[in-house]
Amino acid sequence: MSDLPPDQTASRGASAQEASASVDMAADLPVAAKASITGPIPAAPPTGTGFGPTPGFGPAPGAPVFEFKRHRWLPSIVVASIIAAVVLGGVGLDNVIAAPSAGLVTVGGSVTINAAPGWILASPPGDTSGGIELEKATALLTTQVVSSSYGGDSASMLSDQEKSLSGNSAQISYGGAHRASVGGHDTSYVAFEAAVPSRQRSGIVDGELVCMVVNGSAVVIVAAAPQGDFDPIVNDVAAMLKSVGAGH
Amino acid sequence: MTASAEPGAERWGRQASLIQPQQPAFWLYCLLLAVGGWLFAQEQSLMSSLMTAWLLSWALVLAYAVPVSLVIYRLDLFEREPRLMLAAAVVWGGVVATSLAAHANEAWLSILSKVASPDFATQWGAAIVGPGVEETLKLMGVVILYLIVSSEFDGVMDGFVYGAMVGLGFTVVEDVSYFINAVAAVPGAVDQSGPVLDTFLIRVVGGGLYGHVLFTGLTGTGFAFFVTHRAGGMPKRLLGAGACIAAGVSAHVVWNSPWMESILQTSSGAGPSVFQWIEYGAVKGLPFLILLGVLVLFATRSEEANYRSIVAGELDPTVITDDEIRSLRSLWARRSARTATERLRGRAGSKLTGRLQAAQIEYAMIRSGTDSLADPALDAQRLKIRSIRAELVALPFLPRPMPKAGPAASDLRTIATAPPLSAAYPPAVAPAEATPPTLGPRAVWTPAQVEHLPAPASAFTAPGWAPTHVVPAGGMPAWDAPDPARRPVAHLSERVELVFMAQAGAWAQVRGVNGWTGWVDGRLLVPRGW
Repeated sequence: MSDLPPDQTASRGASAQEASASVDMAADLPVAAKASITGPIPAAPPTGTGFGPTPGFGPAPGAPVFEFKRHRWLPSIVVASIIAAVVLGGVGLDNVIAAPSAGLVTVGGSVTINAAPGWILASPPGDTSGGIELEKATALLTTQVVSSSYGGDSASMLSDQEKSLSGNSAQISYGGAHRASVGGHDTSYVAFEAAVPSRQRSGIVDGELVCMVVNGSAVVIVAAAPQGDFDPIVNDVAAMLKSVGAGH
Repeated sequence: MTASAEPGAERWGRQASLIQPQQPAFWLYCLLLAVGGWLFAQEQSLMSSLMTAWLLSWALVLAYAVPVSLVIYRLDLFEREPRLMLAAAVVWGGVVATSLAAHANEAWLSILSKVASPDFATQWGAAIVGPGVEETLKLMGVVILYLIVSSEFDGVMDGFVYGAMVGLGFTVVEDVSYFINAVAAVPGAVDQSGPVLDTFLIRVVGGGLYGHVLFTGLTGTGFAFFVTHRAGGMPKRLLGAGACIAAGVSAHVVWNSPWMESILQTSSGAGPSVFQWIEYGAVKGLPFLILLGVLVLFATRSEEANYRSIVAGELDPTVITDDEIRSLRSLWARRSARTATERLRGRAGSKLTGRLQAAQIEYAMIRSGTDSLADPALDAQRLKIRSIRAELVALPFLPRPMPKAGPAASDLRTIATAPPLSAAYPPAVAPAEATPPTLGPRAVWTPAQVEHLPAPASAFTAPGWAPTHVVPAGGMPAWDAPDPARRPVAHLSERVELVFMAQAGAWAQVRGVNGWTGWVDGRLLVPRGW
């Protein structure tokens, strides 16, 4: 008795007569099964495994040959160039293009402030005795000379301005006040967060209230931006504060 | 035997790997993935400081993304794309495109505010910069995937699938950043869940259908049109591709623009309701979604035609019938076919029909990848299909309730025009209630091959009959003992169901439904369920 039954896969329709034309290699097969065997009998499956054909996967691929395809270089370079143009080109162009700036602006006839790049006058230049408004994107910086013959210090001026600002805002909270010399001028400043009426945004703004004494002039500067937009302008505000000086 | 598919049919059967070190585009993908991945990790690390909001955000976007990805995957009815390629598309959108876009958007917005005005940039920057930067970066992902494995782009449908997957990845990561920003914008940020859920309702529930999946689905379709319609001539290719890409970019422009914001206004001054957001999204996005639906429909019809071309010339009519090809043309048609079978043969019949449909799709994949109708893989697939059919027709019919009154005229018309029940799935053996006492099957398509077993030991079906295997195509001889020196005692007809009882080497002892036992070549038996 053999462990292997005859391979019948190629014997469809073979008659017993045809089977007599057997192949020697199939000597241990039944006569009816010897008909059209043309190759070696496949090995028996391992004991204990299921029967039936295995799924028809294709032949195993050969070992991959590492070879750069030259005709593929150009499209890849084009794609890389497009991505670089969008990302690096944008960053580079942004650095090259100078931001518009209001430049040196005189406030109230006695004080000047140099607007940082990107900061422009919110209203057309004209009478600046009531102060000026500079804007950049969603941020706003107002500068006002409240007195041209001020005898006090910046800290007391800040205290007065805090009260004034609180009276104009429904909700406002202040951080701790600081006093320093900025550009050689006595300066006091405080950060605040306020709720202001607004139709589309949350209505919360972050800001900084700055009071300076510049050659006897009391200068009040308020920088504000919608919450989340203040951090990007901090450096600009610091630069503009340092640029404050006495006018002609 | 050669030339299995009709000329002009696309090759479906050769799924390629994403890992193609010989392709420069593969290394470009890896390089940009490394850069994007580094930026992505930094961003996520920063966001995870709001841990509750961050985890909730990811849970919500994944709850949205998983079903959407399945829908996109299943819309590709015939030649489904390799999953690794699809994953690469999602990763490109979520990791590479979002990270690069964040930097590029900021730079181009700044440029816009310089060359125009800050006010203009604030109002229109999102509508001008966003689509330009983001659609370019996302589409480049589709192009890179094409450059890595161009053979996977067989038709317009493939462009839609890869584009939509890139868009899905992008929208997932972008949504997470929006959710976290909403939390960060609240003073104190004590409640991390509320702002996330509110933003989820607005961005996903209100406008989830009209986002980046739609935009990049359109642009990807355009790109695929260009690279797959080579026979159409350059002007036609440029026109078709340009129109689709323009539609995708336009959809993004309209979506980001401040147009129609009056819909969101409220008289009380409170924020817009979810219904207002849904209306706002529908007005701005629905026309483009309909356009994409029409394009996908045309692409599916094209794939159906290609499927017909591939399976044309099959000599065995039981592999797939014309009606079955029609039933494969849409998810709806496939479900209808399964439901129809379920009505006749129950839930098991529905499942078997689903397996039959999958096997028929797989048959086309194999057929497309071979030049020979005698390919062993093709034979194996034919066998699989026949086995499923055999199982299907062996299922008993469900009892049908008798109508209380006579049928309506419409019912009579349906009955009169319906094909016989056996037409859709020619039975390999008779239904259980009609099974003759012998094992003789009724292979209606090859009646000449029908042979009967010797007289059975018992004419009655054994209780608890649970066949494990079926006889393969062409039938097989059987012996009364596992001895090759003996002559076969019978020739079992194909698709006859058997119970495997014992094994001796490669011999298998089997039993028929009527109690007959014998020995066969176990290697040839087809397990039930194939």
